[in-house]
Amino acid sequence: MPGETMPFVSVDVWSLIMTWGNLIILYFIVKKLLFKPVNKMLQDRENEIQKTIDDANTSRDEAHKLEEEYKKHLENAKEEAGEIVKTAQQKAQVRSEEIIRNAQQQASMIMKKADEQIEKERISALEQTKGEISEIAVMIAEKVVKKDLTNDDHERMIEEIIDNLDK
Amino acid sequence: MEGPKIIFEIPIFGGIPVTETIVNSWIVIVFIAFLCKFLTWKMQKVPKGKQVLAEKLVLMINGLVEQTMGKDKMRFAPYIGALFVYSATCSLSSLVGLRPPTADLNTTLGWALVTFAMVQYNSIRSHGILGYLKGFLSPTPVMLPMNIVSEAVNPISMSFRHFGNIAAGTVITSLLYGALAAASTVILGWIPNTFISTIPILQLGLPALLSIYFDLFSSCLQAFIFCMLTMVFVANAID
Repeated sequence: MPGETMPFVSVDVWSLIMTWGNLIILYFIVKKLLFKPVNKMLQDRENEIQKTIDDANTSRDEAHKLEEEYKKHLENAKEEAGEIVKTAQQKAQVRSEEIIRNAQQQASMIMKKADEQIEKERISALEQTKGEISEIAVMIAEKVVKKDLTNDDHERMIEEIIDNLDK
Repeated sequence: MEGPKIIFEIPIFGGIPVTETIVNSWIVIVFIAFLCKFLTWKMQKVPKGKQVLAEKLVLMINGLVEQTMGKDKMRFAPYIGALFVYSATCSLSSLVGLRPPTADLNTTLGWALVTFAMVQYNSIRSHGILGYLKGFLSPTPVMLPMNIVSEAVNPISMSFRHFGNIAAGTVITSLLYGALAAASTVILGWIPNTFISTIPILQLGLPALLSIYFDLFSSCLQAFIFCMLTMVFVANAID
């Protein structure tokens, strides 16, 4: 009856049954309201941290790869630059040699021409001198001999004089 | 010392008595439900304030179950958690003046019988009915009665340990209150005014010291022991 008290130590079947019911209800409450959301949150956080770490690792690996690539590129670029400089130098060398050769050729041509000119001048001067000398010689001879030489003698004498001059 | 009062009767099966224990259990259940809902309200990835408490509690129980039972038996964690929170809160309800449901043998016996049932069920499930029965004959068939007794005694020892500790706390506290009231009357008895002379002045403060042990410490300790034993027995039954 309400208001009565149970014995201090007693086993009451209805109380037991209600205790079980209460325990089951509380089990579901704790499971649904506490463990499920908290475990889910912990799992989510763990996943996120894992994902962040994975991402960071991937990024680092990629960065390493890129660095390697860039290093390789840089080395290639250096090599290429060296090659370019080398070819440029070679080309310049060839070109300069060509220019020098051309210059030398032209110079030698000019020299040759000048030599030829000089030779011509010399020959023409010689011819002129020859004529003058022969006239002078004839005049001298006329004066010396005071007589006309035959034309043949004339010629022969001139030849002789010129030959002597040449020597 | 009296047992729990009967609050009302459900008028079926010739009247089911609903005792103080049951009503207080309901109060505790509602309290725990609100607490769970409150602690996990609007949880965020970056924990803050009350969420830390909820996570700490769950992590503690998960860790305890993992350590005691093993990683493959994590499915028991919610039950152990529920049992721990329920038992601790029931015992602690004496702090707000309720009669602790754990000071009623029916409550602790109910829980212990659930543990007992779990042990038998899991033992049969993981060893088969033959293996389960064979377990009673180990190490020698002579041990059969001993094994049966030791198995059957488990719920009794578990329930009486829990009930005894909490009930003793209530008993000792009420004895102390009585003694202090008597002592107060002796001290204040010379005052002619009957109102002043019956003020139990010594009851103020002193019982709080005992309450630290009987209500706070003993409540948590008994909840822990009960959960620990449940975990160990169930884990042993499975392995």
